Amino acid sequence: MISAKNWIQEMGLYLIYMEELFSTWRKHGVSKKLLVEQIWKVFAQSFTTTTMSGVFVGGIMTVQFTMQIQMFGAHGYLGGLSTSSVVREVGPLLIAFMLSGKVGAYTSAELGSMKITEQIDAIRCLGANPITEIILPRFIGIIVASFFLLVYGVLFAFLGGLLMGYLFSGISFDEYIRNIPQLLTGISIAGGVIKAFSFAFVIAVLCTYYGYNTSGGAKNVGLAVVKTSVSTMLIIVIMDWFRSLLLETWQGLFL
Amino acid sequence: MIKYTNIKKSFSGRTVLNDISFSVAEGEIVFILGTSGTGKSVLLKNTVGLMKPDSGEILFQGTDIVQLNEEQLLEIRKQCGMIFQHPALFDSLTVRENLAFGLKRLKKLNDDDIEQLIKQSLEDVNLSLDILEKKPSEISYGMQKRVSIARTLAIHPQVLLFDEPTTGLDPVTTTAINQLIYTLSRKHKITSIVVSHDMGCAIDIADKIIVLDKGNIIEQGSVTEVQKSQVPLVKDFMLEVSNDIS
Repeated sequence: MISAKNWIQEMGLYLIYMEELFSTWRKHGVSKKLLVEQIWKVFAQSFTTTTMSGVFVGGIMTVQFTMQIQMFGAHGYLGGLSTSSVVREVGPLLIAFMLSGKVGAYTSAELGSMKITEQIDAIRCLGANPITEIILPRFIGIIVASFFLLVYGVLFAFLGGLLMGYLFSGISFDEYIRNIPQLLTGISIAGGVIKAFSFAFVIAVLCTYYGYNTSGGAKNVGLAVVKTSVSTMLIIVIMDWFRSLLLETWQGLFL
Repeated sequence: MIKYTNIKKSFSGRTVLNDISFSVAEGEIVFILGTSGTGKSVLLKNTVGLMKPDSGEILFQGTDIVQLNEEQLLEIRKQCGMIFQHPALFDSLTVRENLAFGLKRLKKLNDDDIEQLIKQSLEDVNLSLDILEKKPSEISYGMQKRVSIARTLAIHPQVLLFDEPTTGLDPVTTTAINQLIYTLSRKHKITSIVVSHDMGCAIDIADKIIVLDKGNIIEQGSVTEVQKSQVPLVKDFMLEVSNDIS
């Protein structure tokens, strides 16, 4: 069981690490070639999985809502309810979980292996800065690619919901779409986009942090991967709860 | 050329190096021997500033390495090349790109000069040019070790630090790598510090042997002096050499 002291210490280390990343970025910049390579790599690795996850997340929400609202004869609201919940909550959350397992775990294992096989020490000995050379391109690449993957995944979740509404609930595309603007407001969309960015940021920070700070042998690479996955999911859930709380309070006060 | 004075290093309360003092003269081949976990690799990493000792000083041609920051250490790393226990080649790069990596960053040479140095360094480690476009995973472990040596040699260091260069290699490749260390040191007049478990090789090629145990130097001197040592661990190492010969 992780103690409060350890947790606070860990948070402090994340902050110190981020400060190091940003100060190195400011001082040395980042190679555009390496950055594009990383963005492409993350995108190519996760494109299919994100598409599948998106379609099924949307489909699940539509099936669940169909079962709930048919009791009230409110089929017309299916599209609005399903799309709103997918954009606001479930879509970014579940797709971020999937990306933390796919992109986060992969990057953490890759960096951990580089660390224990002394490739990172070799980079320093050959006159380069490992932060500039390997960490920053991955860090920024993961943020950019994961953000677009999350947005893209949510779009596919909408399409999955639309398709399932037609196939499972017998609702036409027009009827599904008609009530969406009533339930999906600009604030909901903005909330979803902010969420996608913040989740992408969390994945990028934690996987590069745990990978880069791996020490010892192969066992510790596995440990770094586990820590990455668990911490990412935990922090994403806490952030999601906090954001929801803030948004609800704000809406309650001003709207 | 390099002088270590009262080097101490601990990890989580465990002392790994305890008051280590010795010096290495220009052109010498110095072997540091000892059982696993006695701080041999830590000592090498301190020499190029990958780690800092808790106390003590490491003078490289009069400059205290311990006091230098990462940017100042670049100058030291141009002159002090390290060959790691693992080949430490970058998986995503070809052999050519691996060899060019340090040249581009430390030497800032043009492409033609880089190409020439790449070819020269591969020749020095007896590898053919047809591996240049291969990825490290496509060549044998022994070849990866040689490429790793070539990558460091390409920057023309004055000192080579070898961290267990023959670990994980078969006896034939081990002999070839040891021969390579000897040839490089003599041909290029490079000072070499070799961390190893291999007393046999040390006897064959070292000018000086230092034996570490539990973070302390328990024996040091020329090959003849160490061979006559009465320290139990050193005698054990010697016994192993005798067994290997018989």
